[in-house]
Amino acid sequence: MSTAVGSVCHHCHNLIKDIKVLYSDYEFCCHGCESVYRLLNDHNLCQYYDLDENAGIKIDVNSQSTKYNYLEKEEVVAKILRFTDGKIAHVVFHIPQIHCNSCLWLLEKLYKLNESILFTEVHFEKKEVFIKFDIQKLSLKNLVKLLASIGYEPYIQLDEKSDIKTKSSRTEMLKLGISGFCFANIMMLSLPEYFSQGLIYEASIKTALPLIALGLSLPVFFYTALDFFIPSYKNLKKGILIIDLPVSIAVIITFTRSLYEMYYGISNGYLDSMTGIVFFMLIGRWLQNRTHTTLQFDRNFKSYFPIAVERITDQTQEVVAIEEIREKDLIKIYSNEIIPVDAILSKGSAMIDYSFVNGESMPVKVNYGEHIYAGGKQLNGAIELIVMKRHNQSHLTSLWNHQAFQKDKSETKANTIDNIGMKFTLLVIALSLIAGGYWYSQGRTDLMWNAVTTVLIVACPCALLLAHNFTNGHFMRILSHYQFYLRDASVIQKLFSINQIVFDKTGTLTKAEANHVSYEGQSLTIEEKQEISDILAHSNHPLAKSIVQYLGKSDKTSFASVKENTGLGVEGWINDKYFRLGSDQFCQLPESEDTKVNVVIDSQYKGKFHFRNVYRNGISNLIDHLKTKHEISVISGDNASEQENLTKRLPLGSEIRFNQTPQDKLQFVEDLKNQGKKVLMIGDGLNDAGAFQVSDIAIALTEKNNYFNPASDIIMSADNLSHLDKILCFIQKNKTVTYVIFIYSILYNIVGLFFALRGELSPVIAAILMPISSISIVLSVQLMTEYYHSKLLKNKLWKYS
Amino acid sequence: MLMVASFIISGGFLLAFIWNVKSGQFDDTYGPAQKILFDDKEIIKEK
Repeated sequence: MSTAVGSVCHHCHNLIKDIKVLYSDYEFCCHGCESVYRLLNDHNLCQYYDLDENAGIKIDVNSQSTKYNYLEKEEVVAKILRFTDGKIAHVVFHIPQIHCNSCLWLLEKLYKLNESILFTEVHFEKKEVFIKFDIQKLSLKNLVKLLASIGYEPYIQLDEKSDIKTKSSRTEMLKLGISGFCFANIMMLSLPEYFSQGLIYEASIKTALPLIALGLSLPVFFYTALDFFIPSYKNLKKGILIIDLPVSIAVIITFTRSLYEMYYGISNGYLDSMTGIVFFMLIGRWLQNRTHTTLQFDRNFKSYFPIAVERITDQTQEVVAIEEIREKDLIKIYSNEIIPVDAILSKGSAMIDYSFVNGESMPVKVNYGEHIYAGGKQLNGAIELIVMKRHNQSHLTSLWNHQAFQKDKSETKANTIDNIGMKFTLLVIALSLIAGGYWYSQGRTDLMWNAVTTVLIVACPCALLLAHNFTNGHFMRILSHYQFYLRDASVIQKLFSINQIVFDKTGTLTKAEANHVSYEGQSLTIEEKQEISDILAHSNHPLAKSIVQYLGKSDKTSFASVKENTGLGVEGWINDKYFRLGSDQFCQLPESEDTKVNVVIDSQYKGKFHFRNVYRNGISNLIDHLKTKHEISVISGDNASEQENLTKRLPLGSEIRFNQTPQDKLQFVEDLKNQGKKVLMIGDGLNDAGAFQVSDIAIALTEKNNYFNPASDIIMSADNLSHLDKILCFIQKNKTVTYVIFIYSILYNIVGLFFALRGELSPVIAAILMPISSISIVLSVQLMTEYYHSKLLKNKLWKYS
Repeated sequence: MLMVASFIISGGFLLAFIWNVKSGQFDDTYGPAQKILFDDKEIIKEK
């Protein structure tokens, strides 16, 4: 087994960096991964690794065993369990980590890990697992712990919504099936009529056929088509035109006209067209909606906070739900837990990482008696806090009280009508009204109705809307291959008009956890470097860790006496030398704003370690490409130490702002919008939530294992950020496809109308042409999107999963 | 007569379809297809 740097962890397939753990000839990147392997190995479950290459999930070794204490509470347990009779319990967990066959396999083999687990079933698309277990032998808490220990930590939220989702997707499927059935049968029944040119001699069949067709069309009209009627009616009442409206008009008119014609025996009606429209529209819609059932775009801050915390009351500790926490309660927060409320530190030493809340990349030291704000993450050790405000009144949540959050964003979005389709519809309606008006003025009311309905049916705007639905569906499907998930199809339209892109810095342009270390000052000897590294190895501070990684660890550890002053620095004796490593204040130096660690050896100032953010790969390239079409600005909650670096990367005149609070960010975006800009906001944390809310389009970046993201329109994988320009380019092609189809359908309609008006179109041809038009549109959409997709792939080959 | 027969048959399919949807057969279109491929044998590997 090679021990070269760059070897890969046997479990999680990450590159092994500093620590290497060996177990039975395999290398692991951390003890977490190793212990998972050991567990699986002990239970003969190593087939796990053979099923899928990317099977293992990196274990967060920092997570605390106390984290699940709230699962001991009976009310909480009762809320989570689906069923229990005291012996057997059923539970459904949402596990976002489920991603491959191996996950599926392992989770269904859980009973091998613990015999109290009786049965598990994975629902892959919803990323859910159903577990039946013996609750007398295995508590819910231990079950969750077991899952977490193999990397499948359940995502527990007390307000369940998933059920509703399943149901709606089922009815959608049902409607699709029913309308397909009716459409196909009506078509089949129409065949004899087509081929006999409307001359059927058997009288009983002649009357029976249309009646059966009518019967079949009823469920379509009264059940499946309601999907179009109800929303369009509701919005029409509010004075808003939505895309469903033309479909509804077409369907209703076709249906009534058919009834009329059948009643008077003029023809057998156009029920086949009507059911066809509904069926194809539903398919288009299903294509649009089905891409990602598991993603949640509407998370708010609540899902970020823990569900419960430990409260200390007179010598006892109990776990209580956050809602029950009151002012002046004493709560205990463990390492790596998120602080749910604004509070004052009363015991312990706090290092709070606010990066998610305000974008500061460096953790903040909090002293006894100082404020700690909700949303921060405690980094080392347990602390006790006195609660100042209830969870829903905290500094952080006050952002959600801003008016931008009052209006429901998704609702306003759904109402945006699609311009091209709407113009076309209005044109068609106008045309039919003109034709009708012409005949009315001639005093031919019978012909008037005829003209109005014929134009509406023949020049049905549905073909275009259909094309639109299919195009969007295809685009969304292709984009999801690149971990670029759209909330819904209306986002595509909005992306066309974007002319300003606002980036968040920490975690977006830069990598959240990585720091680039550099040293400045008198050069250090190898020995001194080693000694500094040895001393800092005692500290848990992220900066210290970065430096240790930068300097490298020695094999022989010299004896050192080290004292850590949390938040200030580290002092220590080693090889008869006295080191002080830390902040300006700690080293008695004039204070400055940038992030650094000073080095003082035997009271002599040597120099300092600088920290610079590490930018994601390809950022400069991305910005170079984006700046041709968009204005770019960067807003950051961090200090200005990166100013120089950023300015280099951005085009001249771009606005860069530092030290921005979430409210500032919101204001910034709002100001841009007031200037008439269409703003695309890209960020990753809660601190961007406000800006997200007011921006036209919000893109939330997600890291591999972090499945929390603020409410947004688009969720994209952070690794693919550098390809954003290409993705945007690709989306632009959506417009081209729509235009081509638009022209095509207009030509089709002109030709059709021309023949129809001259009465040269026999019913057979007309009836056959209608579905062919739909099918040809669907096919050409498919061809064109695939063409652009292949161009995208050729242009830049990035990982296509 | 043929028409009646065809309706009975196709109606049967429709009912089957409705029943399948209601019982959740289409909820997960990925998992079951993979599960069937897993070997249930205990594989003890010597490496």
